[in-house]
Amino acid sequence: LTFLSLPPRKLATFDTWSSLAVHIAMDNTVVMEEIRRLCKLSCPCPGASAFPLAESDLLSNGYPDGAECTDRLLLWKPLVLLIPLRLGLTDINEAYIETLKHCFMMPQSLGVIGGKPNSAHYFIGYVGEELIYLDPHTTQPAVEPIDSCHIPDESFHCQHPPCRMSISELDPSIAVGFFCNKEEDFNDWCQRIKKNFRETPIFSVTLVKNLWWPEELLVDVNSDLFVVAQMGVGEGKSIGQWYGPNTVAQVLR
Amino acid sequence: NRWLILAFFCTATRVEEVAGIRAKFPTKVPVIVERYQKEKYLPLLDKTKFLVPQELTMTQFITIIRSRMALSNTQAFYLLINNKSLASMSLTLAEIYRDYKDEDGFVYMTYASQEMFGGFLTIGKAKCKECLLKT
Repeated sequence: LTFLSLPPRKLATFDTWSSLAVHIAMDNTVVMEEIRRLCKLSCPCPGASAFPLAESDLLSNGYPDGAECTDRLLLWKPLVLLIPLRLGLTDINEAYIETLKHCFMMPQSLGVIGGKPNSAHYFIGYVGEELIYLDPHTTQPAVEPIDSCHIPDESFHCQHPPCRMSISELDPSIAVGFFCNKEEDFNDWCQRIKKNFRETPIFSVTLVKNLWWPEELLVDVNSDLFVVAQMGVGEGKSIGQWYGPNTVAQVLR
Repeated sequence: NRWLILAFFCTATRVEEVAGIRAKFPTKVPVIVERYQKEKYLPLLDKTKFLVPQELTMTQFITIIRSRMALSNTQAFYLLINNKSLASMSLTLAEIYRDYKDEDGFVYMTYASQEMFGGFLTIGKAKCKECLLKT
């Protein structure tokens, strides 16, 4: 499966040349602050994309660095949001199927990438208990990337009509995609998630990322039981904000 | 029958173990974290039993495990409870314990990465074309 075989964030680089912002949400969590920071950049500079931490890992897609830093002053870059999920170990947990259907019903939906063993599909919707998919995969020779954008891509488009398969056959590893053209679309998306994902959420949306440093909280003990150290809560800090250095280890034996 | 008896004693031992832990650390939650048996990419954890402050959220707990395995931010890591449930990231371990604890008193979690149908990749510049065109 093309997308999922890539360490997901690498995909983000492929769109630095366009004005699209691509975000891949890890750990089933969409951090609103990250999205806003990403989409509100006025100048999309290649290399200085959404993930400064992973920058050294970023791949070049054949587009020269620094080529496209134009004076576009966008208030909101159109957002492609991809959320990789694993909805079970061997089979999809049926409890999440209704929530998954909700994803397709949202106006921002780009569908779902996923598959069943040995076949990767692009799911564009559902009917009853069946998913509608396209299979864009045709075996063909690899294309050498060239410096211009003009790679003949006719054969990479889907030549077959959409097919159907039962939702329960779906492999649990999927990624759901959304497109938010404007900021309002993203706000609307957040509202919809809050409303529709109450019962069995498959991912969550948070305002800010949890900032803390877990390394310091780890205490190795000489038993088969691993105790996560009790953490102190600082004065004036609300419960839930943890800090590292002054932790107290508890050793169990 | 012999197996049944064995299983019974194993469970009984674990129940006892959990009772001991809970008595000693009433504010901590005993969690067992195991690797999915078919997992190919994520490393094995050096320990499987964790005793976690009950106020910790799932997000924080996952951060701990990620750092324990030295995973990068970009590496897919999923923790499923009882082999099937995704815990909401904002839930605390106390809530997880209330909702998902096994009859022996532990919470069982299994971790896995994302299944990959294409080739596994070497990370490096200029390798992207291979990955992209593999399937």
